[in-house]
Amino acid sequence: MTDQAGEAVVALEGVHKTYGSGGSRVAALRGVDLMIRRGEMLAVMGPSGSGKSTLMNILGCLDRPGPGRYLLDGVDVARLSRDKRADLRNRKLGFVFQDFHLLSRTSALENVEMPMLYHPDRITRRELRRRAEEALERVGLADRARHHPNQLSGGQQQRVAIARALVNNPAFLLADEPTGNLDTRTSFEIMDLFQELNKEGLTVILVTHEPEMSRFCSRVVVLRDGRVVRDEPVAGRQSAKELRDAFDREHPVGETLSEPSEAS
Amino acid sequence: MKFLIVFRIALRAIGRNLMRSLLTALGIIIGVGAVITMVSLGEGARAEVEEQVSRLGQNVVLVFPGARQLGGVSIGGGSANTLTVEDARAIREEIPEVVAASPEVRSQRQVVYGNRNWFTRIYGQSADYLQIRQWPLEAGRMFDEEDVALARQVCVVGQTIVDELFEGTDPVGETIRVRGLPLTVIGVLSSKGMSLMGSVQDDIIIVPYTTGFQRISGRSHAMVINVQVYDADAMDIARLKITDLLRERHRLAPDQDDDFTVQTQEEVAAMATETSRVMTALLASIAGVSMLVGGIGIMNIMLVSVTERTREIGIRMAVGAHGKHILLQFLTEAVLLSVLGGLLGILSGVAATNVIAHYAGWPAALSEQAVVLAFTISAAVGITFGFFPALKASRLDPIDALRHE
Repeated sequence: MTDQAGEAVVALEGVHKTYGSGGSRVAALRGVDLMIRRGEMLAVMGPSGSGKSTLMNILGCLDRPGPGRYLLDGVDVARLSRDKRADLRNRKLGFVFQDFHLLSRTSALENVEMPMLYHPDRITRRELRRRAEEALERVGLADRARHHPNQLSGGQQQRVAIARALVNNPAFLLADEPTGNLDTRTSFEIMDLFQELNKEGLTVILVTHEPEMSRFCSRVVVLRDGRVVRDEPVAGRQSAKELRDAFDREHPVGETLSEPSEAS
Repeated sequence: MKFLIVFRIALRAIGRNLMRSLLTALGIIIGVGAVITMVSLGEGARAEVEEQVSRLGQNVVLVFPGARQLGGVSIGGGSANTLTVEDARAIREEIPEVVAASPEVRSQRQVVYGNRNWFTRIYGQSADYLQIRQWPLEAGRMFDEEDVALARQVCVVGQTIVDELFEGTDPVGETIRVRGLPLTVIGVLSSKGMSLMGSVQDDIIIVPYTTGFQRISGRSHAMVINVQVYDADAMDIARLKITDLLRERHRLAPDQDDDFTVQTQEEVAAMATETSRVMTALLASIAGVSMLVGGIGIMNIMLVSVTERTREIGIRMAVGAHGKHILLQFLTEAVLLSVLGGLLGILSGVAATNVIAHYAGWPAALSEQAVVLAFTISAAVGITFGFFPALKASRLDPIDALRHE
């Protein structure tokens, strides 16, 4: 992931997307041009109805773009079959969702192993375990591998989800409101994790409606009415770690804000 | 994706809702269990009937009173009074192919010995009946022609009688009473074995037919005439000759139907086989219905499961599962559910068979074929009824599935 920084991971050219048919057609995207380079940390923002979700579904290969072109790591997504898109999601994409979307009553380790089960290459059991443990270690949860989601805090669950997203070495992480269900301090922790991963060279695309989250990114894209209305680098990018430390100073009790046992 | 992993996921999904899974599989469990039990008991009974039919003796022709009826002849009833003792004697004396003929009369009577009594069947037969039946004696002797001619009050008894009246001691020479009529025991029949039909066959007293007709039953007509032919090749000829002889003796005009029925041992066996075939068809239809009901139960619960786990399906698809992976996962779960049901059904069927066989004393032959068939059918039910829910799951749109609450 760290190689060839600057190469385009995502290239959207005049992407349209229309839902419905006949008189009730709704244009969600009306010609989006977007180039995302390796190593970027991008925030996609916009009010609801701006086409944000549609763009995310297309970027995530969950939906096909209408007219226009989408090259993911050089692969033309528009012409791929359902199964080929599934393979692409498996190998090139890591999803992080607002409500974590972990499999309940399944250990953290097995949740992280899950994407590898669908990998087109055969992966041995031993390798499966090794890579899952490695991914968990990367998000700082090596000691929680055997825990089930309901035994983990919201922040920990999101970390498991991030480990799951990382395990197949994706071209980029696609995070949809990853801090939407988390308290302030835990949000900083998760953003810190994203920043660290980004520092290691991972491309991160963050879809959010919280302006403060976009300040941790390197670039902000704002959508409105299905078009990109702003696309600029973030001036004065903030460090989530510093903000977390500042938060801890302001709330010296530190309490257990980040350790509620039941989340979601 | 390795099948072992799919298998594990399915097993875990079933284990997660163990109670629900068990209730779902109950239809299959009951269906398979019932079929295994019935088939095993039926198989045992059929083996007995076959054995019994073969024990009818070699080259035996049975003459029943009354015309042949549709769907077989009433063997037990002696429904018409058209056969006489003289008919039997004529068959034996006038047809050279016949070596023995025994006019049979049956009665059910209370038999008393000392302070013990027993309700049993008393057969009147000729002296050569045991030869026809190829039924050896264990002790004493069979009554002879003279005993028959003089209607002597003698009898041979089956093993059950020895056990019930004589408590296992040697009964030869003792006297039993049937409605005040004393009968001297002169022989003991060998046992037919400790099984359903066997114990029924052992529960018997045989007396000279003269004694049977005159002193015990009060009947004047034979319920059946047991005829032995000297050779298997002569069966058809003997049969024709018996028919001609009896038509002549009964003074039947050419346009009149027979008032008796001649059947060979093979035909009786065929009838028994036919009966068991009808029974098998009946069992098969019961099995079919219970499997259908069980299958619908599985389909129902799989549809519920797919709806419940829509989000899980969405997650799996988002991280790269193909439709066919999801299909395989849910199909495996359905098949596992029905096969586990089938296995439990086989176990409960075998257990029920053994319990019934043990306590009711019925013969039972565990049918391996039925076990294999039950297993195969339950797997097929799982595939058939699991396919639609699995297909539904595999066709979900990942975006909608992820949003599902």
